[in-house]
Amino acid sequence: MSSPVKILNFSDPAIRTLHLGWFAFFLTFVVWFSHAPLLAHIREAFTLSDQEVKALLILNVALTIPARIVIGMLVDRFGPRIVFSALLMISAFFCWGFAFATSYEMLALFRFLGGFVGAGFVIGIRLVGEWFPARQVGMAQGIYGGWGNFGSAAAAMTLPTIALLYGGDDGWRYAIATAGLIAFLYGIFFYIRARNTPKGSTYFKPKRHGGLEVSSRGDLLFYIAMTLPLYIALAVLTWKLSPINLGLLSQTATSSLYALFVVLFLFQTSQIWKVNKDNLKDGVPEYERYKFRQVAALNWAYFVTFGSELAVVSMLPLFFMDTFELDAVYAGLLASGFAFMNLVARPGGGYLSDTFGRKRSLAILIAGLTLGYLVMSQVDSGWWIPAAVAATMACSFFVQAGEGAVFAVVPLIKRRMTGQIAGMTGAFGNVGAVTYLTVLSFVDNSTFFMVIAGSAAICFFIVQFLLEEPSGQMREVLPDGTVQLIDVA
Amino acid sequence: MTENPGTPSPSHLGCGKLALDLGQYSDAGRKPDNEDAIGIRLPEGVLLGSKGAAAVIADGISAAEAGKEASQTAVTGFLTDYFSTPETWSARKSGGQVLTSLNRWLYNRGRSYADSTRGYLTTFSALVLKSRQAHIFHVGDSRIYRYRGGELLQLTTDHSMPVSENHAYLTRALGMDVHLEVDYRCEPVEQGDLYVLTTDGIHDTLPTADLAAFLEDAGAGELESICQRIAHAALAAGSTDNISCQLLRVETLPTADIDDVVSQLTELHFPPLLEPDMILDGYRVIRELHASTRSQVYHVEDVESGEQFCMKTPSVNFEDDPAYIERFVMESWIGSRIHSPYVVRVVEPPRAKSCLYYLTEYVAGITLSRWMLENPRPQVEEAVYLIEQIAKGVRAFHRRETLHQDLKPDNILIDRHGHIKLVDFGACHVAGISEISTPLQRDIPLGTANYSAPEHTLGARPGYQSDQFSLAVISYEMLTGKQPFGGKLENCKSRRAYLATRYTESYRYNPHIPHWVDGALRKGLRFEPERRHGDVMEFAHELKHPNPRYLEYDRRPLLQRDPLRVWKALCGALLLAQLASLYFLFR
Repeated sequence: MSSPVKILNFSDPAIRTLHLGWFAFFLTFVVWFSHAPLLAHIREAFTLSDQEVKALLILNVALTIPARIVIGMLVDRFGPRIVFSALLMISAFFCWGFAFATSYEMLALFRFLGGFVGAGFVIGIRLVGEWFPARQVGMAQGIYGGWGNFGSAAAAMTLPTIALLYGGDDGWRYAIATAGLIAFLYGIFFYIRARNTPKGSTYFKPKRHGGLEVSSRGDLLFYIAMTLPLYIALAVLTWKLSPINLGLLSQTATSSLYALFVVLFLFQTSQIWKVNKDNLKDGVPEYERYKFRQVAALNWAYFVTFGSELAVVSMLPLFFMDTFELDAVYAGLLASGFAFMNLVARPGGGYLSDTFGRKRSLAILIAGLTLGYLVMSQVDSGWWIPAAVAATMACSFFVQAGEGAVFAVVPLIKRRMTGQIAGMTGAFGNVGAVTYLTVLSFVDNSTFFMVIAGSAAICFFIVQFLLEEPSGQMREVLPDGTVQLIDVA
Repeated sequence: MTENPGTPSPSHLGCGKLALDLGQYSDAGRKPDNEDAIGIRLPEGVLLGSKGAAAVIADGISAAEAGKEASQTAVTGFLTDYFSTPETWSARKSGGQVLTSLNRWLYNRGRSYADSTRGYLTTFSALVLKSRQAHIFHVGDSRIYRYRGGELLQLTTDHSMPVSENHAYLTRALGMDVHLEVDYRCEPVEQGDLYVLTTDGIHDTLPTADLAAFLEDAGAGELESICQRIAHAALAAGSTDNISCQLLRVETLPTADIDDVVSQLTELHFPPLLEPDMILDGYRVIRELHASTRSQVYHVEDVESGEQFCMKTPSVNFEDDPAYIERFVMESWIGSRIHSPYVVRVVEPPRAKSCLYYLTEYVAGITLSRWMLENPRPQVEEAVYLIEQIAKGVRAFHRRETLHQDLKPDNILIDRHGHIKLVDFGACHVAGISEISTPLQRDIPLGTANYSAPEHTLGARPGYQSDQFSLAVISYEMLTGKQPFGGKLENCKSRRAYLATRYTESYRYNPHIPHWVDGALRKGLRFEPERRHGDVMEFAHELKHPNPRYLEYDRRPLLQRDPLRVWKALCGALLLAQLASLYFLFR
């Protein structure tokens, strides 16, 4: 289906844009996960408890859930160029705020704000979509997503060393601040070089985008039910920070947050109803119909893949350090193996899906990651370190290939609503991260991996029984080169 | 009109065709001659969708020598000529054009008589039912009524002046004067509407209430006999004139059911992405010429004949977007309706298509953007030679009441002989199509930021002057190698932003450009469409023939040429003087 994107052809403005885009996304990931490999230093500097460290990890992914929606609207309004450079430059300030924090409260606040940066993904997807024709867009988005996600690995590999180079007790602060500085400068560079659309492309008046349109009353309820996990995740996080637990929030703040979530949920439900009421009253036209459970299945698949990746990437350096009693630099380097696989695994997942069938590939990959996490739950100090790293990398291959396979199906459900379906799927990835990190704050590392494995096993059944192979057409090329179209029922 | 399977056609617009029940009757009555003429034409197939059905009634004027001939000519002339106008024309334009020429003809015939009162004069009322609208053309005192929900409503106004109790003079008629004012009116149609056309033999004697009584519960297939009954009643009531009437009832309207339209549109699937040497419907792909987020263009070769074509295929990005598919289908239809050596020819394939694509002639050449890169400082004559050809191509669109709406260097090809071809009809606005209603929510093209006229961006109604603006931008760029207004058009989003741009004279970049050429460019780039040239050819003309008004421009006093700078300079001087006096005061 796809033809290769010539990634070294810098004379092609689309390729230049791709490189500009993935590197911007890469930097957002560096900034977003800059704390992970340096947690040991931070724990030491502030004498944090285990619970406080874990709360930081959750806070880091919490704001991303609502931020995705805000960023999506901003991109609609202002275009990717301005929004991406603004995000990079703002993220630098959050980064500096975190780097020079003087109390745990400040750390928590800036980690929480830093979660905003995690929503950068949406911007570049739009940018790449504008620049690449259908033939190449799949691979281009794979490169964008995969190489960009690699940012967390890059952070894990380099930041501990940079901290060491700066030296002293405050080395980690300067290392994180350096990441912020690079992001800030690149934000300026991005604004100068990037363009929203190819020169001379024809515009059509954009259609209005509202909430997701569904095809039946049953699907409407299903859809509303599927928005619940987002609020539950946020509520659990609030509970975690309430006086009962960590006490970062006062009782009033906690209660008003709960109230806010209820209001938001009611508001969102009313919005969903508004978008759908006319359609459902008059019946949805035949050609507009699709099954919402397809969307739901993909959402859960992304919950276990991307959600677990974000969670694991946050805790893995500390896990290696504590389990094998390594120094920060070495632990970071080993832990980076997890995100390292992004370079090939994510595009590879898309390729598998193209070649071996969408549902089958996704199911097999999820089965693979279930096993992978089971193996990781067995890792303890008695393991030979290279074996532990190999297990990590094998597991991460299935996780990231699974992400690629999920996004290979997303455009096939309802092409017109690809943007909204992708947005919802992405949000579930973040819900997964919050959920898993919250679980981590209650249990030890081994149980944490077991929980992921268990949820992945459930997800395997969801994919197996809920997801349908998207209908479409197959084409066959006869030996003389003649193209034949075959309808797939 | 013959149809072969390859002919692109907007067949989806004819879903659930317009169906009419008809009846008509005409009789001399108490007069020796019947000078009335009537006619209805209900075409088949695509023509019904693009032009609609027409009913015409005309009453030759008894005082005139050749009233009978005039009414006959008007009715037959209208019914043939209206359906021969380009399918891209709106009903209003088609009707107007046909009536203008009919009027000319009748007037000239009449002038051969010494006494002008004995000319070829006739009243004229025509009803065109197209899609879900009724278009009414009317001159004189024949009438068109609409009977809806038990109420009879007169849709036309009589053009007559009463001079006595039972005598009136016509104030307007076909063939009376070279200049003709035709009443035009457009009304939405509803299912079950009954349209009544009468001449004065009927409506002068039968009161409206009586006429309505005949139409109550008129059954299917009865319209013919009802016409006769109305005529007899008029006769019985003492009508002394010819009596004619026509009835048209709308049985079904073109569908508003989106499912039907979409299934029509999606009958042909999207072709897959093609690789070189693949064969689709007997065309071998040679290479991909261009791919964007909206479409792919391949260079293909007919395996049998070896002929070369361009094949444009829709992008899978829009597989379930009916508005896009409609636009794609229309694109080839528009192309096949525009015949000009300066516009790329859409080829009708001899074989049936297995999926959605269209073929155009293959033009071995480069795009204008490439040409501009290769000729950064062209001879003014050479550039003007090309611009004139582009203008001719654009005019071919305008003559078909079609706006190109996306003129830009990438959509203009130059072959090795220096001949221009306009390509890409993807953003065209076709008057005749836009009035055919559809349940689809159509896409609104906004053109390309650097080249589209302000009215596009600001959401105002674009017109022929918008294409002319784009042409002026292209011309400026060809001549100077730079975009006008310092390339700032791209970012203009508001009226304010447009007005804040400053025009840099083209001869500042290219000293070979005469001032009068710059004057033409400047006029073509005006913000207000009405201040630009009348049409593209006028613009092209001014690039070749010095307009003396532009020559005077530089001889005007500075205050008129650049008032802003004058006042700024004055203010600056004043400020300096003030400062100087302050200095001397407080020294």
